[in-house]
Amino acid sequence: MYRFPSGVFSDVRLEESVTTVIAFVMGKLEQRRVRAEKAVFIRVFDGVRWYYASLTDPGRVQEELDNLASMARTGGVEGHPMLQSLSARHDDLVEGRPDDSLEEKTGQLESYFGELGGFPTVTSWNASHIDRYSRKRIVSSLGADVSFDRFHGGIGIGFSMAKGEARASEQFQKTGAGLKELEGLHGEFRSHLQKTLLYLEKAQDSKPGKQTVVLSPLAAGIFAHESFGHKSEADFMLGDETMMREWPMGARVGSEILSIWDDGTVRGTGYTPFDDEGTPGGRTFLVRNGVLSGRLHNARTAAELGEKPTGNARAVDFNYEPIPRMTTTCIEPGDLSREELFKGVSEGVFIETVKHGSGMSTFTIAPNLAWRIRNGEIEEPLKISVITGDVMETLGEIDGLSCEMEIIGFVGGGCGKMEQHPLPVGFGGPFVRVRHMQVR
Amino acid sequence: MTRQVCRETITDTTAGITAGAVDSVRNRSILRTGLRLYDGATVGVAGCLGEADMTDLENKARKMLGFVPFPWEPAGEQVCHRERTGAEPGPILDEAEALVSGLSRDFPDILISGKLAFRSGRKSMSGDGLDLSFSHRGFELGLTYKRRESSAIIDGFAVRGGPDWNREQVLEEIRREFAAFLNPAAPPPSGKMTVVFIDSQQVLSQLMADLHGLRYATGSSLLSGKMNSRVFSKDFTLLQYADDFQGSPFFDAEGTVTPTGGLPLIDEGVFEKAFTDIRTSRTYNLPLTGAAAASYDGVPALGWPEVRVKPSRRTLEQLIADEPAILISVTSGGDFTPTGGFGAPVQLAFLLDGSGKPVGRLPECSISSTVWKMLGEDFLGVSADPFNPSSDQKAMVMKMDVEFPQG
Repeated sequence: MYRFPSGVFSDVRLEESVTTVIAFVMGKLEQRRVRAEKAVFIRVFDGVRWYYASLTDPGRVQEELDNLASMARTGGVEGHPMLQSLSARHDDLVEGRPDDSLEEKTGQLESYFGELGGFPTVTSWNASHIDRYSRKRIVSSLGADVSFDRFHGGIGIGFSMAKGEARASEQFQKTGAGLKELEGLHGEFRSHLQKTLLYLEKAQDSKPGKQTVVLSPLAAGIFAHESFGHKSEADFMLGDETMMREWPMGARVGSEILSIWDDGTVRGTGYTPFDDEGTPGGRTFLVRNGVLSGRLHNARTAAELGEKPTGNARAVDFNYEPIPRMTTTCIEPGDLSREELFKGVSEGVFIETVKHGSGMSTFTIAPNLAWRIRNGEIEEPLKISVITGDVMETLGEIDGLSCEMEIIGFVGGGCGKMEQHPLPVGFGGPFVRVRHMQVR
Repeated sequence: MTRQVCRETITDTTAGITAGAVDSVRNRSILRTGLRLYDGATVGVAGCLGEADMTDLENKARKMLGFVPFPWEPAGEQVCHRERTGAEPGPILDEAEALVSGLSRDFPDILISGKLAFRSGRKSMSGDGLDLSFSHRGFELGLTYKRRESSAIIDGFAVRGGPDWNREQVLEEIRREFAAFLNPAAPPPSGKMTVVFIDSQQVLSQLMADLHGLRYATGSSLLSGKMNSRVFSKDFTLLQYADDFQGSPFFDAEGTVTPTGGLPLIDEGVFEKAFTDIRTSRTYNLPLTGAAAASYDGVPALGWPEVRVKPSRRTLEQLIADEPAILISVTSGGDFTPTGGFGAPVQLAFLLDGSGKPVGRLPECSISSTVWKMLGEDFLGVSADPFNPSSDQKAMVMKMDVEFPQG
């Protein structure tokens, strides 16, 4: 297919994608497009440095391969340990995509609009159906030839409510692989509108301080993603002796009941059967029973840290090189029923939905819908700016996990890491009870 | 039938830095073309990557007519071409290696990673009397850094950008920041104090949401019903702004031109305008500000325009006025409540000396206030002098409640 230059490692990632966007604002159609793109990302490695190029003309691949190789120093890649981590597989996991029409997608989205009519406090709203099919083929100088595809989509309805001086905004989002998975959600949407109305009318200022917090699966998934998932991306360890010393495999990092995994084979927004180096995806336990158990790698980090590649080398699109990223990251469910979990809280806070989260040494979650828990019961809504905590301390304060769990994805958004965003990812887990979180 | 062709080219070379070594170079040259047709009732758009077959594109755009309503006049005739380009920088590998080696030599206890990009581009809109173009060339630097003995993955960020790459100037600024970073400072007592922001995005996020034309017009905004009222400090003027080095052109995605110097949305504390595109402006009878955004193949819709707080005539030193002041460098997370309350943890803050220079790293803390106070009674101003001259980044100064850990 291509003449790979000698003396260097090189690979070519061919990407084709079809993205559909249907968007309404206040019931009026504002976007209706189907975007088809075809582009290429090329990598060359000389043993010391990587050379990359992205092209929109697949006919120029050979020319650009040769150009990048001319910038590299040849001969240095022979025997390089990274070559052992790179895929040389032949695989074809192309499944195709649903053939739902634009008219069907539009009709299904419009079927939800009627629910808003029952809520006169809704002052503005928007609704969208977004889906993306991508097909990739990775070929390399080691002989790899891997083809795979993925499809994810969903509907999202954002709405704002106002009553006097009170304001509330929320999102209703559901992802699915085709229209069949997005059917019949009207009751759920209506219930979400009702909760937001209650929040609008009754939300009170919260009492700042350390409290017991129960995280919904959505909030728990974001917590795991932000507080621990990014720390597990192994490129953050490169050249960092302190991180290697303080984060060795086997170190206790959390409660004994806590396990967190990342898995590219889980269907949903984070589905990544192969990564962008052609390495197959799989389940990597980051934490197992409170003990540090794994990291997320691309070929380079796996080689430099002496570990196995995990299928987590991902690029947002054809403009970028693959770097260690999450796929679907979840907290393992536990033994308690949801009721039992809440019963263990005499006074606390339930975080149901989240505006955003972030994770450094201190993680943060900015709640949207939040509620007081009193004697195990969910009571009045609360206005909370942020809950925060030291990551390590908080992981050790998890003392309850429900057996029910949910895996969630965002429609049209995703994870950001430096210049690469948004990357579609999945996240989730059970209801999680955490003692002594800082609530502001 | 009105026909508009939109083109955007981006060409850049990016050096990647990992743990103090320049380990990659990435070349990119992307052309995107979009074609829009307005038939007086609807709009149809088609786009493609790379060189376009315009006949094919026009046929695709015609097929998209009849769905998305647009019964208004699109942007009228005007011709304007501008550029904001700096001098051609040196070879990127040389520049990146000199930057990294300079910092690593002077600060061997700090690990640096990130990207340095030299970028140029052009955006244009043409058709039926419309002929607008904006060319830009400049640099973007995004570094993460940490102390080698820190167990965090990142301790801080150093972000710079502008039309003129001046390695020595950037080095001087980052050296100043690193020197302060390595010097632990005793915090002032918790309480209300002077707080300085260089990146004001988070601080202005609630206000931007409330200035959104659709939210304002439908009563969803905290500013709904308050137009032409003084809602903030007389020292606070917020401009919808363009001509930014990052390739934010002086015209929006519909071809509406932003006046040179910016368009006041808040003028001396008085709420004057919500930002709008043609659809929002005509539907709700609001002034058109030119805040439409669009992907190359999408219908323009109300976006989030670039804004800038108008600088005062006072320097940072004058704004601080001999009081203890802290610079908020990294505040990740935190947000506003629906009624405008604000709280956020601060992962990295610096103590400033009387002249506004960072002199020491403070413990992690938290800040809180409300949007009404931050931009109202507690707002002190934006400095006339740049905090980081390489990037023309000015300092926004206000009072906030700051809480440091006990003990």
